[in-house]
Amino acid sequence: MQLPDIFLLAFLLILARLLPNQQLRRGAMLVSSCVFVFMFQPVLPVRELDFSFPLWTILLTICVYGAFSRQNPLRSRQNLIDFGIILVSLLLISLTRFITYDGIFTASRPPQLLRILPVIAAGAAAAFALNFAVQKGSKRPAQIFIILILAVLVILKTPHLAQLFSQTARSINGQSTELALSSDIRWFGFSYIAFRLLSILIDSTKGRKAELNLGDFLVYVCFPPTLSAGPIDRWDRFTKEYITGPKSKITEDILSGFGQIALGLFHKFILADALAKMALSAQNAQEFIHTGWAWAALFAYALQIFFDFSGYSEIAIGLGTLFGMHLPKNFDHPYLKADLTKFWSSWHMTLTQWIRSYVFNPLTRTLRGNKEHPLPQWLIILITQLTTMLLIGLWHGVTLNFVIWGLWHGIGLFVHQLYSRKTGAWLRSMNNGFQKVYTVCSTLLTILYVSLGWVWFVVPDFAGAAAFFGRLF
Amino acid sequence: MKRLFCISGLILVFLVILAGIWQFAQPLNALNRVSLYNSIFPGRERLPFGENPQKAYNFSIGSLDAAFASHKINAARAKDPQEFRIIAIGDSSGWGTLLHPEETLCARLNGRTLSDGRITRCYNLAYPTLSLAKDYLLLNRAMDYDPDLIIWPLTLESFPNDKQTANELIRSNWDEYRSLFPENAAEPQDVTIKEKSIWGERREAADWLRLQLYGLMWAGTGIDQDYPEEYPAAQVDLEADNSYHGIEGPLSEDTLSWDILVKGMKRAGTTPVLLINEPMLISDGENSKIRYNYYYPREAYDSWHLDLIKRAEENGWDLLDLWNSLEISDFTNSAIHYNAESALRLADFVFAEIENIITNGPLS
Repeated sequence: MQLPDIFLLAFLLILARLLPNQQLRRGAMLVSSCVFVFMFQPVLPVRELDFSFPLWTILLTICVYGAFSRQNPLRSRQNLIDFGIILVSLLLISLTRFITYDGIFTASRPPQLLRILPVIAAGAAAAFALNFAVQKGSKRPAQIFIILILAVLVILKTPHLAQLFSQTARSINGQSTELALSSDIRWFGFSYIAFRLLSILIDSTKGRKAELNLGDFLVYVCFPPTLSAGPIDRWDRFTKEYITGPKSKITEDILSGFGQIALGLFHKFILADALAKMALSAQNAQEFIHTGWAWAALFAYALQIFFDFSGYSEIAIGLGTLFGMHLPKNFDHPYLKADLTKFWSSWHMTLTQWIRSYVFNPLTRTLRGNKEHPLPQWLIILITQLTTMLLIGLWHGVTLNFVIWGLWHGIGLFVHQLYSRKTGAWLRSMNNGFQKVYTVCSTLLTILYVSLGWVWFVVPDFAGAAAFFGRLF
Repeated sequence: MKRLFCISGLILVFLVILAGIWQFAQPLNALNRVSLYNSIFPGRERLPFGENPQKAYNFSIGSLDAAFASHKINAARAKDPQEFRIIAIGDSSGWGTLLHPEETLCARLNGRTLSDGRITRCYNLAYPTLSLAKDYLLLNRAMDYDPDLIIWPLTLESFPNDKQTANELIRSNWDEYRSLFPENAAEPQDVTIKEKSIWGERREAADWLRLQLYGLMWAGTGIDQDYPEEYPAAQVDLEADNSYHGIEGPLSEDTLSWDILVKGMKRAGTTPVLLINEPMLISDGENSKIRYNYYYPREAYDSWHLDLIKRAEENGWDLLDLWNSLEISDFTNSAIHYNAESALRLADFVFAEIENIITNGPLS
């Protein structure tokens, strides 16, 4: 999201908020969600892909809706209206190809209508077919889509597979396959969209009913403020607030919303962008000749990524507030936390909560469930921590360094939990002064550990990261 | 709603007050003299210049105040008695395009012991723009740092009248240029109130901030230039064109700004100035009988070259004529950009000449 996008979105969200009733607001937000999925998608070198990805986002959302919803779409008037709004939005976006050679709502000129219509028709037919199976009580569609979404995530996050995908797409389009790069495959917001889709699919396979309209579900998945960097709201919390409409006064929300946006803009566009000029990066990691400044650049990166990410989250939360949606907090002073467990409870909180709900807790229950051959407690902690942090690492990219970064934090959390179990009572028995000094020291140690972990995150290859560690020590 | 208006009003009042203070105080000039270099970060070895800041950790900044404040010469005001302070001005060859800071001609002159026991300390104040007026601007500032010797590399391309003010450094420091060249009666820049406002000066303020921020990467990496792995070699096959700046054949005196060179020599006063006729690529390729290189037709260059020698003799200027001292293979991406080994060889020539000046005194 660039500055003009943020201001345009703020303006439109206020306009939508001013509409006289929630029904109209929902309609306006549905159209906006469809449009902004296209608007945010960056231009891609593979022909038509920057139109296809947003289109696939919407069709995938419709199909997932079909795969979990118990409502018969043909019997729900609201669903038919929503589908109509989505269809008209897509057609109007497609028709902008006749207005200009550049895209108005799209990164480049949309393809011909005759090429788009069969895709939309196929998506809609698939959704109906899936829903037909769901109506008969089958959980298979949801399971299939869980696998499908995970497969897409793996392709997008694995450089080699993404490059292969780019080669295939280029070959279909008659473009040179030699120029294919993994960076050609940038599906805007898919990392976040996937988590939203997965959460409802997993819940539905567990028998949890989600009685949502198609339009509300699409807005949950593609809510424009949260498309680029989250937060990853829970579908039940989001849709409940969205359907009932804002309860707070518009003036309060505008004040609070713009306050959060201003803070987010300051964090992202002033602090993070300024720190980026002095922070460790993939490009400069091998250029340092002085140890002290290498450390300084590492700490600058630790701050840069925090302000960058939290800034975007604050902007998203502020934009949501303008519309009357109170999105969950995503960061809570993580670098001021005294240990790694607290750090991860306050860094990208909605992602960690998601992982906790859908991976950590079920895995812990499974491991504890074996009463005949119970696993030792330390082993359960080790397995669960390593698994969850590894998944968070892989979510950023399927590369060795992200695996190491995940393991780095998994091991850190494991060691901290064992340590805190052994020393908790002793620490509580100490006087206040000692505890304060201990907290300051452990906070600094946590910052150091997290910052060193960022080396694996920012440097893309193992040799480069190892060489930078060599420079630090 | 009332609260919304109150807060909006307060923000507006704050912005108006801030704009008013900025307009009244004009803090940019003072800000440009403040720098994190030479305190938190080491001073830069050469003046800030570059077009790819992400890779070079350096970029062209308009303000000479900010540029000098970031240069290590700004921390070298008090001269050690054992120090023989050299300040080198000139163009991109002296600045060191494609050379690391420690590989430039000036850097290669550093730390050498003169026959009188003093140790050379060279400050590189060259700037990659071909203009004698720009050289004069820098020379004028260099004199504030009490140099023992000025090195002024010259090449014909800095001399044409139309080159003098057609560069960003002069345009950005127009008032300074006007004060130094009152005889030109250059028109003052028409600066509007809006341009002097906080909004109008936001880019200059941001440039100042960016320069400070890149200090960390400069300190950590010692890189101040984008070094591409590959670049096109200096042109050897040339056009069959005998014209130079639209003039065929030898150059007439009135097309070149000799007056600025004379003015510069006067400005140096008693400080010796070593003029260097910069080495240049002498092509042996296509049409090399018409042109020496991409820049110069033979006739035009030869006429300027003879004139330079003549003027140096007439005025008693120390001129080190190195125009043909390097081979084609010594040049990198341009007919005047030489490589690191050549800079070292040239430094030996220059040092010998400095010794000569120290021993025998300057010619003038």
